Amino acid sequence: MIRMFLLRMRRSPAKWAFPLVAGFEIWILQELRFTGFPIWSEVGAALMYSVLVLGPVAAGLAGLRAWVERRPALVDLDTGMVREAAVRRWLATAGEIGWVALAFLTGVLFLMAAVGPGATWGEPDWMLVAAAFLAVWACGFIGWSVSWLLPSRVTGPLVGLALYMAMGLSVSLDLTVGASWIPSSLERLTPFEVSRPGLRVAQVAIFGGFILAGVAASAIGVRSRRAILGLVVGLTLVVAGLVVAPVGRPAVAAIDPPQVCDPGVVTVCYHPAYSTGAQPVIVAVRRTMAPLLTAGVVPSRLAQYEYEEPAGVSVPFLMDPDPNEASRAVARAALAGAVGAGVCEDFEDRYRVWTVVEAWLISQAGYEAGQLVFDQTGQSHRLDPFFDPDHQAMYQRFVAVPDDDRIVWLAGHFDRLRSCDVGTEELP
Amino acid sequence: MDRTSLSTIASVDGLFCRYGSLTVLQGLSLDIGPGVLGVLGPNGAGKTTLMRTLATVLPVQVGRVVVAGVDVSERRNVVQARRSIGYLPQVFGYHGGFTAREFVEYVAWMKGLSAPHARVEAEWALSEVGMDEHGSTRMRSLSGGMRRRVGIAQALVNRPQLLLLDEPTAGLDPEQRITFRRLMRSLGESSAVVVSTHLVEDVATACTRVAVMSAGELRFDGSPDELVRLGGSVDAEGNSPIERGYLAAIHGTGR
Repeated sequence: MIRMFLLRMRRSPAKWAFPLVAGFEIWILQELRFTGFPIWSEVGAALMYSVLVLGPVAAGLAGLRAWVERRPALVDLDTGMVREAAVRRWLATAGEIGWVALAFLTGVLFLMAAVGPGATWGEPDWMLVAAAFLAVWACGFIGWSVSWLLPSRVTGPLVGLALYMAMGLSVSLDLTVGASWIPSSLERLTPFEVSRPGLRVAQVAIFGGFILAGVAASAIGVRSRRAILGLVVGLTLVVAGLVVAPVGRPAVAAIDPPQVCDPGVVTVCYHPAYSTGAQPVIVAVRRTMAPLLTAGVVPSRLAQYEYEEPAGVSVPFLMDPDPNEASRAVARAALAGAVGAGVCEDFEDRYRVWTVVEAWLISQAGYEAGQLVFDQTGQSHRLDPFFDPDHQAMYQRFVAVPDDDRIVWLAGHFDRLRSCDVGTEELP
Repeated sequence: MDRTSLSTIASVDGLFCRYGSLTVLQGLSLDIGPGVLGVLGPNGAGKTTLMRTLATVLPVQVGRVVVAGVDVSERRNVVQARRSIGYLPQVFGYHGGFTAREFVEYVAWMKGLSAPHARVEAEWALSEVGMDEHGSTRMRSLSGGMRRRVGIAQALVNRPQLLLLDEPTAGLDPEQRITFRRLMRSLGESSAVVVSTHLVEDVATACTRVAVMSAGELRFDGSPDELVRLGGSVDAEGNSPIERGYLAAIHGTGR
């Protein structure tokens, strides 16, 4: 069986598409390494997400193979054979899907090589990797069976397109309305989330069910009783998986996640998964927060954003591999009181004061203050943090103030600054 | 009544076959024993339907078909019977990217042979049809005649008792046809070979027995010499004695 599978793979036209598909997979995974840190939790999620592309490719290729195998001459030859029709059909399509699966495994190796040497905590979510691997096969068999039942040159590519749209929609629903019946693809992106094993089982059942149903559907009419049984069992697995999936819904916050702290004048605490690459971020956030600590307006403890800390115990910071961004985020969080809070934007006058202080905190630490944006070509640049020459002049005045006076001013105005209650006339 | 005898490898009894409102086989009965049986008939006579039914590609609608002692009228028996059948379809489908050796090996495996056994048998089958030197050539690169020989090799690979060749000489040049006839004669020495054809020369030179079909009925069943005799005088229509016999059988004008 393995020898025949390898023979079909070796002689499959899909092998010519392999370098392209594997290269594309690596490119996708490179783009999907969300945080830029070597974190195991991102591996499974990125691989599952890449199924959005590999799945439709597998469906298209398998559909084209089904169309070829469905030609009357090959059907005549195939029908009089001894081995089970399902086995023969499985073999025929596996030779095509095998190359896409190999591209997926190339992606797994790429991520292992990219993440493994730097990973400092946890391990890959192998069940999610397995579920993603099965998902590639499941998409292929869906393409195969539909094309077998409706043989045409265009059926396979159309099924691929439909799958791409359906999976894209499911991810979109997952992100927007939290459709809990959909086995999530964007799950457990950070080590602060935990997955329940129920979802993994559900995903394996769903994708395994699709594979079984796909193989069985193409064998209907040859050994109908067994094929129908296979179809029923496969679809039952799919339905059972969909029913069980919400029970195992993950993306819940881990209870009491581990923490390592870098002691010093400012203690910086973060998840051990981020240890590799954390030092530049620690330096950035310490430097940025130094004036506020001197002024005594914030706690002398910085904790990574995802930790649930009682308000006021620590300043939250984001683990961003770009120290400029980490500096900007912690300055903003300190001034706003929380990460991501957009305060003062409704009060232009007071927002100017707020942004002057923010820009100064970042600049005195040695980083670039403007917001990082990307244009349509993917090129990045930083926006000017100031609205106009007056705003710029306001900043220059603030920078020119002696350090001790500025610290005194910060100590006296910090609480009101957070509440957007400091007007431009109050800025020194 | 059981029509099979000790020397019968396959038998067809009262076989009817319909495609919608069109009746293709009308109560056909035939015993097939060792040797080469040529099935002659015009287009639409039902030759391919008979071959596909014997190959178990088509289910038996009405009647009884027994192959190697197994009643294939019962669908549950067909897998067992297929182990004894080799079949070259009229339109021979193949995987163009496979080499000849790989293709025959793959078919052997699909016929239930283990992978190592399939490899050995593929080599044997290719040598039987004189294709062992072209085993590494891709199927799509072979000439039409060579491809047909690989088609016979895949039919032979499980060493069947009943070998069904549906128009194996169609589209071949005269030299290739002569080679094929020699091959058919040699195959007929060890198994029952049924050759469907509309070329009477194939029958005259390669077959030990002839069945003439027309409109789904058996019009003649005998030796090539008997068919020649059926043709009668040289004044009758047809270019050769056997052609005259064939036409006489078709039109029911024989002696």
